[in-house]
Amino acid sequence: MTRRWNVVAGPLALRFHVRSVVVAGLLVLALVGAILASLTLGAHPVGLVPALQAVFGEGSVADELIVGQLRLPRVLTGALVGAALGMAGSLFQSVTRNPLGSPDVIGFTSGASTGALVAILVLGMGAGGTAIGAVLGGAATAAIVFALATRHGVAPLRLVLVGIGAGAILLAVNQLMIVRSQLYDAQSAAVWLVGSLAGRGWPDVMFLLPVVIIGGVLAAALASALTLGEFSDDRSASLGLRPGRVRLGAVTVGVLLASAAVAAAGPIQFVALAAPQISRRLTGATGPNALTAALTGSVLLVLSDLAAREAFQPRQLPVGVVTGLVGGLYLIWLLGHEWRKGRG
Amino acid sequence: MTGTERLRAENVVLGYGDAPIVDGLSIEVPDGSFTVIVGANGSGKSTLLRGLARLLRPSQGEVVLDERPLRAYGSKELARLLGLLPQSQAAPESIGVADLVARGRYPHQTLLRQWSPSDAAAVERALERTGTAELADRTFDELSGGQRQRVWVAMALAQETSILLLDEPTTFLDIAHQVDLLDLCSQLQQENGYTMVLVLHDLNLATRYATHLVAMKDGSIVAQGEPSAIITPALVEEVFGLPCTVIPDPETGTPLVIPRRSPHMPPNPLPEQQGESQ
Repeated sequence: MTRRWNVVAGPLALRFHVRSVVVAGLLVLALVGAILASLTLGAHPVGLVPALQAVFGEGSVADELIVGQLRLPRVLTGALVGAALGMAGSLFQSVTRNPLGSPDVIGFTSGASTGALVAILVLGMGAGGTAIGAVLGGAATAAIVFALATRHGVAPLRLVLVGIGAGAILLAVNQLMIVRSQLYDAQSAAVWLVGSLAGRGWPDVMFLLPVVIIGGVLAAALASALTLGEFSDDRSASLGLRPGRVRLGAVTVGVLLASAAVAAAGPIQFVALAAPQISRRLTGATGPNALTAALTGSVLLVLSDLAAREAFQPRQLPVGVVTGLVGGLYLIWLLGHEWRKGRG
Repeated sequence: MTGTERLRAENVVLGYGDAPIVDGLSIEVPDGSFTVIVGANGSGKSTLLRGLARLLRPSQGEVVLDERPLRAYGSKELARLLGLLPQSQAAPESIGVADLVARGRYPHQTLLRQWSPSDAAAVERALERTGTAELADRTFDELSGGQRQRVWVAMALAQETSILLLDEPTTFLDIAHQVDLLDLCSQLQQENGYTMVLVLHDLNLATRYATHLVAMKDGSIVAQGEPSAIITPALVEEVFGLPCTVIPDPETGTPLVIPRRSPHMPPNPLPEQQGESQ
């Protein structure tokens, strides 16, 4: 039985899914642990106390450089990118009623990459231009996919199929752009395409923070409507929902979050796909569960980046390599598991 | 049209795309009735029901509820007055029964008022009235077809509307569960004052339960009224294209439609034939 807490205070009457609250608390603890590990471990190990001192501006000069200027912004960027991807994935999977309906599968991440590659290769722009290109590319792809998938409203499965098609085309376009570019540009574009948190600093944190906060508030506001939207359109409409409108709203928020994540760290694979699935299994709750998905995404990405940074010393890998590896294995396990249960 | 009933359609044209399926139809649903819409496949009965529930908006004409056109209602506002059981059986994976029924409270909730004692009371009442209270702790996936349909009805009851539209609610049920579900609907209509509108395939069950029967063909109403007053062999032949005899149902006295024997049926195992073959 799913237990719930009812909280009544004045005009407020809120309802919480008990296990989700507990899981969210544990995920916060895990995230704090992962962040502390990221701050202390490395080629230049820093003790926990000096690291915390450095975070609050009271450490040695070397610690403040390594922890305060290098590791902290990188790990915070990772946590925010993970949160954005986790939330975007939960919104898309809820809208499409499909565990594969995440932005990296249905083309939006590829579209954001196309935008970024145009900025890097065609227009020769720097980091700021790349970010703008990614957001514009993601939004344009979403608009096109949505328009193509609309016929008497947006059918969820059609959205997934049109998105997969659009993603395949955009992937080809991306590869074409790389093949046709100069060697040096091609290399930097290829590195960007793997997705990396290396060298991310405070400007990235300041760019992501408002996006994640606004996205989180909007996702929370959409939560009950999205939960109801997991029924058929006829049923949710008969309960007073406007499925088309909710879908458009959720996809808009999801594209905003996914594009911002791509703009900051490149098209990191798998987090948007897996975080909502993992959090759903942890909480056992229906609905998008954007908050727990966001926390799961943060934990996943911070740990993946730590592994990418430290596991293969002296070499540092882009985090996208690690998430790709882990994600592939996870997906195989998921499909095998669901298949055995007769649902795949 | 006199326009005295709460729910009525006035010259509505309903359809998908350009071709209207229901073309200029008017109907009044008697308040507190057990109205059943029957007709052949493609006669427009489900389309009409979807129009009455505003899942389809008429390209012409108007569906009116309480003297206001449906299009003038807010989506939650309408969902507090009129409930619908669609044909779709899809439910979120591993959702609990109590959770599912609680979703019926959505039109009564807001962002800051997600769950109040009146919600809990309505859910409890809905579970009790449908005899599903003992299923509350189970997950929906584990239930049988008959139990599932009862749970869907409970969800619609939790919505606390006074009008309930059901689109072929018996389709996936065996005969015993069909009777069981229609008994439940009839009980809700008689004891709790619901106005029920059902689309049904089984003509004989329709005549048993309906207080008001509506026969449709090609998007229009051919006949409507009390079943015993309108069901004749001629009407059934016109509506379904089925030659038949109509006799009084030995149990209820309502019209019982018996299809005529066709030449392709196997020979009847009548006693004298058995004697010949031996």
